[in-house]
Amino acid sequence: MPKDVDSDILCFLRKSENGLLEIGYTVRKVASSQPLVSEKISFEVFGSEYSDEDLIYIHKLEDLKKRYTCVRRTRGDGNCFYRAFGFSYFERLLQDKKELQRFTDVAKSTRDDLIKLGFPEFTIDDFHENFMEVVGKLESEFTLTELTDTFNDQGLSDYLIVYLRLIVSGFLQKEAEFYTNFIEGDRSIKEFCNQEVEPMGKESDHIHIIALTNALGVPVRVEYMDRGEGDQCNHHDFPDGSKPGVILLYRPGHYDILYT
Amino acid sequence: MVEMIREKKRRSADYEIRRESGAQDLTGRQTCFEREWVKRYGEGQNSRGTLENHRQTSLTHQKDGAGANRRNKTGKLQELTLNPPEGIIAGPENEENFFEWEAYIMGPEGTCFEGGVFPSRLTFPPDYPLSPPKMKFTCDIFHPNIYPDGRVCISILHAPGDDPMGYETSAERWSPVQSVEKILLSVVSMLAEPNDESAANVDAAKTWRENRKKFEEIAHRTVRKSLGV
Repeated sequence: MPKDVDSDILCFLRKSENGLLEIGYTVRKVASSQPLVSEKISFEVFGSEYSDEDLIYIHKLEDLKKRYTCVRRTRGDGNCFYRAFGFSYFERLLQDKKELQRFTDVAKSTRDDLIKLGFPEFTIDDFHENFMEVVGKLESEFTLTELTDTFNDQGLSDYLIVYLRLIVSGFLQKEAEFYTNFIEGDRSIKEFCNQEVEPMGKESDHIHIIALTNALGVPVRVEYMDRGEGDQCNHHDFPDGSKPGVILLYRPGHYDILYT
Repeated sequence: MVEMIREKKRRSADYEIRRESGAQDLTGRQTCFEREWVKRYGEGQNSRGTLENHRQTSLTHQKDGAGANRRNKTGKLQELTLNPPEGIIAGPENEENFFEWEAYIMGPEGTCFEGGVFPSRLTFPPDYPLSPPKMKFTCDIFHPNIYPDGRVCISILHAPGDDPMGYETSAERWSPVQSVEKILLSVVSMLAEPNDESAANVDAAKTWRENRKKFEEIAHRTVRKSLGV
């Protein structure tokens, strides 16, 4: 008898082990079935995930359609703000060589700022050089397809994200005196950066957006599509009154890219 | 006893020299790893260095060989194996697998672990440095922040949100700019100052808190055992 029980338990364990493996597999499959940065998609396709009865969202989608032509989705992995910002801005730099020149100088100078703040050189350089290499390719080498491929290459793409995170961290620490007022709890700016900015997968809040746009001098518009009242999406420009070239769509917990 | 410690220190110094010459070997001639690298990713993708190799391989694995570009900094990444901070020796276990490192930590002076030389193993994930390595002592060590099976439990080995012990918010977490050196230094200070509030070994935490003398006795035994006496 005990033998049977044992084999029952074994059988059960094996099944649940398979089940767990399957769940893990499904999670990975879902993650990898969604590209890090998608092709441009129409609002029809984009809106198909909402039920016709979901009036708030349907109306807000209609509103977006009046002002924008299409959307690019990003993978919801906690890095979506940086990935959406990075891609959208680099895409613009492919066309705008004057802005590219300005940005290249700014991006170069971020390395020394980070070193001055005490980040170890060898870990910074790793990410900085990868970043500058991609920026360098925007000058002439890259087609839009190659840019999309780069952003969909997990290794390269994540290395770009790490550097954008470092720029945010560096800026917040440099301007600590001001930004410390916006940190909740009794954390120092340095602690906040170590815990909420630098690690991969940590989501972005307003403070991250403000820091990144200010550090790079790249204004951003965010369209908010949430369950709030009204038939229209509200937007906010970072910084206020700027003329943003990068437009992001925010739905609670997630950023995608919008095109006019 | 003193003799034994001296002998052990000498042995670890030998080890260090062996490591150094090993590392110099790496810079001097093509290793198996380098050959494999060249085979896979083409000439000109220099694979020297240790940790940097690791960063490159992991990245290149993900990139499917789409051109590793971080070859200039390899020298810097050797620093840890060539000039480790005092009391630490660390490097890859062998030249073919840069995902497994061994590290020897000396018990910090002025603590009950002083004089001990504690071997450990670091295991790197494929997406290092985006995710942290794991660290495990391969010797017996009775300490509040080390699980009975040797796994080290300190905040820097965890990304925020991934904290089995609910670390205090000021504790430093893993991020891609951290390094092996930083981890090992944190481990040294962990040995010097156990944190009994987030205990991986409850028994050890209790002993540390309530019976410091007994804790120190056990530590001394661990030290002697680590020296093989």
